[in-house]
Amino acid sequence: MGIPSSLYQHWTGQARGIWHRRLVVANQTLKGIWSNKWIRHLCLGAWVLCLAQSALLFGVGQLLVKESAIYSLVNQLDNQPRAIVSGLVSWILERPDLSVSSTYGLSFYYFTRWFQPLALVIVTLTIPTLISQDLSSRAIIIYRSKALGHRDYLIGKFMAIFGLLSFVWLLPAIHAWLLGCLLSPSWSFLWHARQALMQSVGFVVASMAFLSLLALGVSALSKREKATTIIWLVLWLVGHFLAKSQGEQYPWMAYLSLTHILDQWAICLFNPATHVSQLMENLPLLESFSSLTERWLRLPSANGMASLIAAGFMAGLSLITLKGKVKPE
Amino acid sequence: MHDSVIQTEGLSQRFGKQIALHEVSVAIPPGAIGLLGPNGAGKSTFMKCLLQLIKPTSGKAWLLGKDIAKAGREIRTRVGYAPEQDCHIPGMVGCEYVTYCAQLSGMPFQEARQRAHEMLDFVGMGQERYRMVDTYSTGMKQRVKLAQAIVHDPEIVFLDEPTNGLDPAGREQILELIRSLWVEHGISVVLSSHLLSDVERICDQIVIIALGSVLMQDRIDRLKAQRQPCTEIITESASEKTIACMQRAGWKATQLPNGHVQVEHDCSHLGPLIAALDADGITPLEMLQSPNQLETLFVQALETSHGHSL
Repeated sequence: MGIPSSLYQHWTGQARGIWHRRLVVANQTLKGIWSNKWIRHLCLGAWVLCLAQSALLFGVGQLLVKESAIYSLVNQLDNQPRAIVSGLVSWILERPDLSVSSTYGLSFYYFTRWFQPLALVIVTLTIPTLISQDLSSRAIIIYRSKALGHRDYLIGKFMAIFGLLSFVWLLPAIHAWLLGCLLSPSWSFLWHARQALMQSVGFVVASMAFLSLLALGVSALSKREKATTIIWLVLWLVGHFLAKSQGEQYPWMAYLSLTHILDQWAICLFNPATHVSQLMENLPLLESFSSLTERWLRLPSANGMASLIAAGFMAGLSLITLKGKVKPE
Repeated sequence: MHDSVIQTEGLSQRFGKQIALHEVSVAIPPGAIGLLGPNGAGKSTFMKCLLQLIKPTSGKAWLLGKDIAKAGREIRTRVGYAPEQDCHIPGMVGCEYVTYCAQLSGMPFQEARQRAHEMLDFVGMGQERYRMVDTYSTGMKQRVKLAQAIVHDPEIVFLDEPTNGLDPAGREQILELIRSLWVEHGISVVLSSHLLSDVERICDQIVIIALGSVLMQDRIDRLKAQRQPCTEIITESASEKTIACMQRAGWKATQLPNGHVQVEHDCSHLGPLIAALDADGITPLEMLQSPNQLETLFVQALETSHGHSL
């Protein structure tokens, strides 16, 4: 039976612009990623961690409220911790600019770093869905025959992974900061904690851009999805192992590690040593917690330039891979 | 230049030492265009160069009057392409896939979805549109490839072996749809096929490519008119009598291996042949006017090219 050709009608609508098409690619890639239940579980984990940080910051604020449950709880502690908390409260009341900045700065330094392995696991799970799948199903031909250039396709894919990481890393950080400040007893917290927010956003955005670019490069390395996952794990875990085991003897080896590069950025941006010295100076009783303070004092110094060069090298390799591998057969 | 949908000047493509396209210069007006050539002739490379799926080594090309090197993305909003090989976006059912392709061409979602269903109806896809594309038979994949190629209402559509894997009924349907794209809807079609009968049936122009060069390009009716008319006469058992009859009338007649008699004549219609046969009391079972003429042209063009290459 024939098909009536009258079913075909010309389209008279107006085509959308290039950013709409890039967003369509990003949206479709995100849908594919979201269909993985492990990704959904990890996203939930990120937001639980965000709530934990919010609770900690809420607790710091509540120390200033004499009727609060946390204040009563602190009063039930032993003498020494109670004295430290009282010292912290006095410091916050006297120099809120320094104390809030240091407390939030340290909190965000540690929490953004705890999010880091979570983000790396999420990237591991997304790698096959990014480009590798499109290479194996020859979908690249379809993309390239549409009104999309090579760069448009990659921008769409980049937006997908960057968007996902924003949801599990950037948004929780901003959310925790906002919740911590809004639940504090004074609006001045919003002002005094601004530096911590800017440092967090700067670190997280730079890390996300770096990881997203690397993830795209690794995903484009092979049509076989498992192979790309393995390559990513090797890049991450072997680099980390080399940095830990050989980093002291051969310092350049440390820069083969993604985690080392990100740690260096975090130290450069948050400058935790300054916050620690502020705390130690104003809360001398902290010295009695030798294990904590020694750990703080051992905070490594960072070589920002070396880590930027290493990241630039890796990003360059990734771009070369994307240029050479993402093309129709 | 603007009268041509496709124009090239010295278009060449090399893969290492191998020349896939050599100095191709053509100007093809709108219509249903058949791209013919043996395997490895350069047909797909020619299409891919025009669509910028590969970058030509040298030369220039214009599609729909625009330079592909300068306005590639803009051109592709007005062009459709159904590749020969299987290719799909993983993890999608048929209607999602076609909707997504429409969105990639710039359609807003609601319109894309509606149009995707219309195109799937057009290519004869039923409830299969709700199944994953990965599970489709070859025939269904051909239909969905055609749907995604035309979903954004292009001005020209490139179809690379679109009837491969289709059963005879499906092939008939798809060929009829492709024919209607040009005849009824004014969408130029570039059909690459090794089935000469498909090309002859739906195309009004052909481009014959071999060894990376264009051997022949013209309207089919004009090419046929240049050749001496040829008719095949099928009789029950009187082949020799038929040959003698035709030769008496002054035409060259030969017996083909299948027993039919081929007559080369200078008549614009079959009337004089029928009259001559009738005078000798021969009743033909069937008379085929210019059968396999395209095939003959194709073979001649190839022979010429091989002769030159030697």
